[in-house]
Amino acid sequence: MSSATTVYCSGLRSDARPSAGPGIARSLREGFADLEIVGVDDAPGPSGLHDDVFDEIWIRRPAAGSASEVLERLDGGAWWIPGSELDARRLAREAGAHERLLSPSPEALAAFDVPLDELARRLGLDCPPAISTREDDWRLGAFGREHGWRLWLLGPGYAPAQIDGWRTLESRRAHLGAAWSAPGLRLQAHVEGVAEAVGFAAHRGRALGMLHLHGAIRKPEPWGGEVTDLAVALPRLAPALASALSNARWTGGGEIEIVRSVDDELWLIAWLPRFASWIHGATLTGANLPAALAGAALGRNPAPALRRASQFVRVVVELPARAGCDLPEPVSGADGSVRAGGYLNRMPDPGRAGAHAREAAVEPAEDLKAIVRDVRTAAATPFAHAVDPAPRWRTLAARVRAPQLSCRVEIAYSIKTDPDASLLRAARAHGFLAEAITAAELRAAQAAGFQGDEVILNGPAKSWPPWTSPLRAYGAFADSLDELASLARLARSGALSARYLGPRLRPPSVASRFGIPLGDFATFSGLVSLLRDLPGAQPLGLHFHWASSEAGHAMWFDTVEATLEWGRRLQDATGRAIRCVDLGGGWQPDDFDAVLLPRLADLLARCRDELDELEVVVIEPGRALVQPLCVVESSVLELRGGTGAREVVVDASLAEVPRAPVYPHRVLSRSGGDWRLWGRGPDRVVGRLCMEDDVLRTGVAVPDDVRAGSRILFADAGAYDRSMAYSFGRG
Amino acid sequence: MADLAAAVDALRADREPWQIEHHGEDCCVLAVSWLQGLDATFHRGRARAAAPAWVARRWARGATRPELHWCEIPQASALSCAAAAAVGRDLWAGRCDGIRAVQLVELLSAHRAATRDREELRAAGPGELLAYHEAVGRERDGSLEIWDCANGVWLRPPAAGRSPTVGVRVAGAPATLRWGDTRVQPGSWCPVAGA
Repeated sequence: MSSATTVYCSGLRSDARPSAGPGIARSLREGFADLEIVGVDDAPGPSGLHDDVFDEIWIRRPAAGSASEVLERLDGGAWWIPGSELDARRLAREAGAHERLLSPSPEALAAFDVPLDELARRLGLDCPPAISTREDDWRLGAFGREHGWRLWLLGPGYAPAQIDGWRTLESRRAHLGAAWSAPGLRLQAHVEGVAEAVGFAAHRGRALGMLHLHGAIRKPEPWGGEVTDLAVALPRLAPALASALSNARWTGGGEIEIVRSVDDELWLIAWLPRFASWIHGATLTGANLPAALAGAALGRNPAPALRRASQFVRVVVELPARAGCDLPEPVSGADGSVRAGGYLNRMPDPGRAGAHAREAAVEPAEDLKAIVRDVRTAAATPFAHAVDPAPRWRTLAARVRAPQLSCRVEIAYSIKTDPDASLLRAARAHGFLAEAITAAELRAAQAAGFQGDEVILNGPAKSWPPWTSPLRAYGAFADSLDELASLARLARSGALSARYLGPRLRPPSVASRFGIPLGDFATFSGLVSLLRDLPGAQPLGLHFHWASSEAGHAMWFDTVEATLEWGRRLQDATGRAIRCVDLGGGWQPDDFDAVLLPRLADLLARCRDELDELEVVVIEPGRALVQPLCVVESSVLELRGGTGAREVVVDASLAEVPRAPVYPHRVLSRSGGDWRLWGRGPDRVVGRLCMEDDVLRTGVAVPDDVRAGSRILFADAGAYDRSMAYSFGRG
Repeated sequence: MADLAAAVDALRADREPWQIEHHGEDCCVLAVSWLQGLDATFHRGRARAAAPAWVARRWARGATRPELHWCEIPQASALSCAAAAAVGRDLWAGRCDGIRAVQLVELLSAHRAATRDREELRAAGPGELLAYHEAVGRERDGSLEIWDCANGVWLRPPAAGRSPTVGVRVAGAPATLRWGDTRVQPGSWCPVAGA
C-alpha cells in the first residue's frame, strides 16, 4: 500500500438490484484522483469488485470477519463508506461512532429507527399504513384484507417483496424463517403513484447536499432519471430533512424513497441509511455527494463536479473479471438446484438468525371462548362441530336494522356459504332473505320454508337446472345484458315475478368476471336501452358484489359509492327509479362487525342521497354470518421435531378445512381442561393426506403438552370450509 | 425563447383551447354521463381533486379531426393532446374547483419531439422543433399546476434553468398565477421564466 489516503467502499452488489458501493467509488475517484480506494465485498460474484475504479480489493467473509478487522483499518488512518444498509448497520455495530467511518453512528441510526409514520410526520410527508410482522396472524390477516392484499414486505436489508394474499405471506414467512420476527420487518400498504427519491449526504449533522430524483424508469430500482436540487424540487421537504439530519448529527449518505400519488401527495415509503444506488448518476449531473462527504471529512475540496447532463441513465455493461479474482464455481444447492456459488442475495441467513420465539397458548377472546366452550369431545375425529347461530345472528340483525332511515334494510343469507338445512331454517326464523345462485339453491331454500318472494336470484346460473314452473323472487339481478334481456322476457310472459329486477353492476375499477361491465360504452348504452324497455310496472333494483378482502376496505366503500352514482346515472338516463340496492361484500366476520356495521348508517344515507326513490337496501353479509359457526375437531397422529421447529400431523386435512391456505384459522388445544389458543411460533400443522399442499397452519407454537392423541380444534371453519368440504383419503 | 410572439405566430397558436362539441341530444347526453361515471369511479375519496390520470390510459395519442362531439369520444381509439385536454378539463372541473385550460409552446429537441405527441410541430432550427400543446391547469393558492392529459404527467415548471416550455397561456383564471418563477397573466401568452 502507498501512503495515499485510503477509503474502503463496501456494499458492491452489482446485479439487477445494485448497491451504491461502485457508484460511491466512481464518484470519489472523480472528486479525488489521488485516493486509494479499496473495494470490500463478501464474494467475487456479480460484484463491483471487478471495477477498475478500485485500487485494491478485500474479500471479507461475513462469517469470519470480526470487528477488530474494521477497527484496525479505521484506527490505522483509513476511511470507510458503506454502500448498503446491511453494511451500514453492521459497521455501526462494529465501529460505533468512529470519526473515519463515514456512515451514521448507532445513535444517528436510532434516531431514525422509529415507526415510519413518526418519521413521515417529522418530514412533512404522508405515510402508508404499516404493521409489524411481530403482530399475530389474525391481525396480519385483518391488515391484508383492509388493504386488499396490496402490500409490501419491507425491512432493513431485505429486498421489498410484494404480498398479494395469505398464501404469499406464508410463503415469504417460511423463506425468512426466524428473521420473520426481526425488528423493523413490516407489512406496508401499497401506494399507487410514481416513484421518486431523495439522495443526501451530511457530515456531523451538516447537510452537504440534498438531491431529488425524478425517476423516468424504475424496475424496481431507478434506472435513470432527472436530478435536481431538493430545495427546488420539493421546497418544503428540504428544510425538514436538513433539520432532521442536524438533530441526529448524521454522518454519511442516505436515501428517502417516496411515491407521488395520483392526487399529487408525497408518501414516505422508506428511509435508507446509506447512499442511494443511483448516486453516481447524480454525480454525472454535477452533484458529487460522495466526494463532498469525503472532502468534509478530509478537510479538502474535491474537484468540481462536471455537469454532463441533467439526467442520467443506467445501462448494463460487461467488465473483464479482475485478475486473480475468479468467479466462484457453480455449486449444487441443497435442493438440487445449481446456482453461482457463494453469492446468494444479501438477506440475512434465516438459519443464523436465531431461534424463533415460541409464544405460549393463551385464553381465547370472548367470542371464540363462547364458541368452543360448548364443544364436547367427539367420539371420532375429524369432526365438524356446528355452533348455534342464534346468539351471533340476533346481535347482527339488531345492529343492521338499527339505523332509522326512510328505507327498509333486509339481510340476505347467501346459501352457498353454507346450505345446511338447519341454518337455512334458522336464517328464515331470523327474518333473513335467502340469496340463491342456482335454481338448485332456490329449491333448497324453498325446502327450508322460504317463500318465492323471500329469495334473491343472483349469479350467472339462475336457470340451472331449468325452471319448469313460474317463479317468484324478491329480486333477480342479471349478470349480463343477454341475461337481463332474458329475465325481462320472462317477466313479461309471467314466468318470472320479481319484486325487483335489474342488473348486477361491475364498475370499471372492479376486476371481476361477474356483472355488467360499465367500463364499456356500448354495454352501458345497451343497459340503458334494456332498462327503458322493461315493463313500466316492474320496479328496478341493482346489485353490487365485490369481496371486501380483495378490494380493501376503503376501496370497497369508494366503489359502492361509485356504483350508487352509476345507479343514479341509469335512473337519469332511463327515467326509471332504482328502488332496491343489494350490496354484497364477502365479509370476513371481524371486518363485517368492526368495519361495515359502524359505517352502515352513513352508507345507507348515501344510498338514499343518490337514489331518491329507494325503498330497500339488502345487505349480504356472506361468510360473516356463518364462518364462526363451525369448529373442526381433530386428533394429533404424530408430533415431529424436538427443540427446533415442530410439525404436528393430524387426522383432519384440506378435505375438512379446504380454506386453510386462504386465511389463518385459529388453532386451540386443551390445557388443564380449558381450550387455549395457540400462539406464534415456528411450528406447523399438517394434514393426513399424502398431498404436499395439505398444510393446515404455519407460524404457530405447538404447546408442550400436545402429544399424539391430543385433540385440537380448528376454529373459523364454517362458511366455505363447510360448504366446500369433500370426502378424500377415507377409502 | 427570445420571441414568443413569433413562436406563437409560427404555430398559429393564437387560437382558443379546444372544445368538445355537444349535439344537444341523447347521444351526447349519454356519452357525457358515461364519461362522468368513469371519472367518478376512478376519483373517489381522497383522489377527488386528483388529475384525471385515467384519460391518458384510456385513449392512445393521435390526430383528432376538428369539431369532435362528445358522442364520438367513447368510441374514439385515439385523442390528440388538445382533445384529451378538453375531455380531461371538463370532467375534472366537474369535481374540482380552479380547473383551467392551458396552452403551451415548447421548444423540443428532435429526439424529444419524437417521443411526444403534440398538436403541431414546426422546425425552429437545427435539431429543434417548436411545438404547440394543450393541457389542463389546476389553480391552488395562487399557484398553477399543469397536468398533461394526453401523457398522464404533471408538467413541472422550469428547474435548474431548463424547460422545454417557453410560453404558457391560461384561460379563465381570475388573477395572475405563479407557475414556478413564471407569472401567468390570465388570457395572455406569457414567456416562461428560466426557459
